Amino acid sequence: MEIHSKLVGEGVTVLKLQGKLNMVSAPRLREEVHAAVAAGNSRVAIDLTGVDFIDSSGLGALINGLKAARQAGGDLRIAAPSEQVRLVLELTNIDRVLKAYENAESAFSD
Amino acid sequence: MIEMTVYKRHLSVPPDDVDEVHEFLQGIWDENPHIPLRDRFSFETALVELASNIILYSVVTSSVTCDIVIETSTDQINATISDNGDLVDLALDEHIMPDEFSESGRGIPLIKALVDNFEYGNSENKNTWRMSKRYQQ
Repeated sequence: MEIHSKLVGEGVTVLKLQGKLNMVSAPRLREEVHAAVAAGNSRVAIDLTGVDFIDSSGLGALINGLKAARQAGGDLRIAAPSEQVRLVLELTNIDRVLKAYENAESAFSD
Repeated sequence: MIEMTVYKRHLSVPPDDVDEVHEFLQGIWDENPHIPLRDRFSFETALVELASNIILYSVVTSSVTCDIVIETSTDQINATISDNGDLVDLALDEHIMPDEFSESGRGIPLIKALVDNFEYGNSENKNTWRMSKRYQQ
């Protein structure tokens, strides 16, 4: 999996993922989120446009990042999930705590 | 009589990992365009989830080998996975979905939610897992 990090306006970090978010790649996502939060940018948008697969390891990384961001006074939000990602979020009830935004740019526009 | 096409893959972990399972299934999807997309990714998620669990709980102290057999027909797909990891005392019914903020524990409940049938058994020092999914109309 490739992860590109970009700091956009007002301290929002956009992490753009490309590939499969599974037990192989999940630890890297955790590291990237924690690095953003440690740098003082605790509002994190995860751009899932390029993610065609997620499993429970990937979900664990998202929840871990969500808790780290919120503990630092920010938030973690997801954007553009695929049909597979949406199904997994629904079946695990994580869609109740991770609302999906249309794109990363709109995730923190409120 | 229902005609089944059989595909087999042997994994040796390490160096193999779940990326080999994705690659194996991609070949099957390419050969079976009649399988609906939602059934493909539901079944793939369940199988990768299971392989992840086998790898995670087996290779802490040693390596593990895993044999995957997939059968496809006109109306369903089946998988039988045998591994030589530690035998587990597992009651699938007792695994329920954890709360939204849990960072682990979703593997088995997610598999149960994704496929129509999921079974576990062990004998002769092997774990055997079976799952099946009927295609949605």
